[in-house]
Amino acid sequence: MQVNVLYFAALREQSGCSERLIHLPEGSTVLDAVESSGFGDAAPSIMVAVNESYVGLSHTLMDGDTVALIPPLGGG
Amino acid sequence: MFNLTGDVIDPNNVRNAVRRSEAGALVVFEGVTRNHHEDREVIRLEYEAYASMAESQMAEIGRQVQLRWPDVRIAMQHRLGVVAVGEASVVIAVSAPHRGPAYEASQFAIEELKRRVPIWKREVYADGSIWKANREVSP
Repeated sequence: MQVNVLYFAALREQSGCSERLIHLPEGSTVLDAVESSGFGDAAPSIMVAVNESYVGLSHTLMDGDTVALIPPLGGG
Repeated sequence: MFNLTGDVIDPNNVRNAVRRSEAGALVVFEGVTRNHHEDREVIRLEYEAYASMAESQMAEIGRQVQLRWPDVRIAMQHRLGVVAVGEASVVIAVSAPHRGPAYEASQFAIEELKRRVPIWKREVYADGSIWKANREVSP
């Protein structure tokens, strides 16, 4: 299946892109997507949103999901 | 009103979104770019957002405020891009019949915004810049 990974702020700078389609096996989790996008080490310090809702690393992904990697927030 | 803007925020717009004759209290919070972080001089802040999610998270905070303080009305506007020292990055206006709930809801809203709205800032100094993280615990 295919998911669209979005990178923001520091993660965008480190990855060199703001979004990327990645291919994962059916039944993959958010953690699998995070590792697949090269940010496995960052997993403890980021949040993840799937289709604009925060989810945990064990959340199971579906084909076509948008996965946003959310580094520490700075709003306000 | 729960939105992002690329322009200078006019606090009157945000105030007027909640001003009503049933409300005897109208509290406005402005988050303003401060000229220092600890002992370093800050020149400006630069904000970016996951825009669609930021606006829906702001609206969700509004819904939670409504549930917890049913007589309160709230509006929030957050600016993106460069926000110079002394300028507002966020304005939150809350109105209520009485000031107790207005003060409480106003504080709740800014704490929740910092905790969950997907917005990031670069803190820019004379000799560099960093992505500056809020201290609030994540959702």
